[in-house]
Amino acid sequence: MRACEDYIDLISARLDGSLSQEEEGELEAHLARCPACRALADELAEIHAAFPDLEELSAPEGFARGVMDRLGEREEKKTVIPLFARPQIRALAGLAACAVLCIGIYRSGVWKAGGAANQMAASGVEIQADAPAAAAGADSGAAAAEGDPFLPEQKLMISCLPAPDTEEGEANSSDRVESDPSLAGSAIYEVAGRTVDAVLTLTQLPEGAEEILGADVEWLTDKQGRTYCIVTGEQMDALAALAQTQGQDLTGAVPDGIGADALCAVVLAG
Amino acid sequence: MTEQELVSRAKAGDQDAFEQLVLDNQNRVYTLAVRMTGDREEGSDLAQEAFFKAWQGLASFQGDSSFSTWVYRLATNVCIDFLRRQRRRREVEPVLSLDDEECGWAEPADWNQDPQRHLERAELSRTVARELEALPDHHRQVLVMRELSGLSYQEIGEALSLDMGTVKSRIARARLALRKKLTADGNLSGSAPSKPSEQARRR
Repeated sequence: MRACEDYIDLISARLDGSLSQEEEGELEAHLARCPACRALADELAEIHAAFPDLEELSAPEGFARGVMDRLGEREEKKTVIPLFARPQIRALAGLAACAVLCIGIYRSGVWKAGGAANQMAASGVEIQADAPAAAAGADSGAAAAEGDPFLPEQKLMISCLPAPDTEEGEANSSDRVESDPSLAGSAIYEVAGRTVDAVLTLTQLPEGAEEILGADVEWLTDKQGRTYCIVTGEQMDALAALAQTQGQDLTGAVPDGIGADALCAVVLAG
Repeated sequence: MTEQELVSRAKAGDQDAFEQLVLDNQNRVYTLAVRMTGDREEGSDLAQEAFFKAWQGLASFQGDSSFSTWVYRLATNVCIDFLRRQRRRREVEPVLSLDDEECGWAEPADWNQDPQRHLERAELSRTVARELEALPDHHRQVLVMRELSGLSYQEIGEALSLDMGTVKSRIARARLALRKKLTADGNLSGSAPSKPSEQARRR
């Protein structure tokens, strides 16, 4: 037989009409014997019966007005916010702008890389006969044309294209400009932490360079101790041409297809 | 204007008609929310939210039940959602410890004092309302859901993530706790001839 305490749940559940027939019978039998539990059942029933009549609280002053204001606020928000001022649209616009920027940067890099590699591949046979360095450059350029556009070798080729006129370079191979492997390995577009469109590496500054670069040119030193200056594409082209006329071999060292206003670096690696 | 007419107008976008529906039901809905949350400010906010949801969902209200029943149900759900969020925020005590307290027989001081005393029903209701507010959250919530919202044990279990056995037992404990307060206040007409513990010992 259960103890009185065990009937509490049944007494309570009976008020909610959730007793099984068996439980109901068991509880009835107990209540018939136990006046205390009967009294408890009566009291709980009394409390249960009081609930439907529980006094209601009064909603605070202005409650309904508050509800209507909420509706108004939402309606206003619905109509006032123009499409392009909505946060969702703004977020999307931001994303779109980022995407356009990324694609732009990506495509400009690939375009240059692809263009350079193609040019290199096209002129590869001619260069091969001239100098070992140029031959190596041509090979890697050809390889890059087929392979990963982001290979470091290709980056090297991007800025160190073969000179259009390679014959002049034959005269003095000791003066030949070298492509800088350290630059190539890190990032040819970056000189002393500065990003440039192209880099021209010379063993020495040709005579008359001052006229091209101007008196205000600022010579700086990078971490490797090399002297460099920042020039325009136009200045770089003129400087390369001058160096070539003075016998420097610029095979594989003169970037091609660089705009006149492009930001370039001239590095003296002599 | 009848409730049905007000609903039809409100459905057509008449905000004045809807405001009248709010006025007609605000006390009931507000009371439920306050009793469910145990906090007047919170209750007011939730009750307003319930009416706001009613406005938003008015188009889907088919009129199978009265608007009052429908909005009362909406308010119950809004409160349940609130309690769930609240429970997630707090780290509640384990269920067992909640139900272990205040269980067992209460020994009211006036068990045998005045067995024939009958309180006015209105007076009892007023006291029940007051003492209900004073109950701990876990007792008050199940009682409000059961007695005021009319939720089944299963619905309460789902609302509070409790199993049926716990719901059943917690409701019983909540009723006992309420009874204990009411008998202590001398508000119940209980006519027990002797203490149940004595009865139990006698058998």
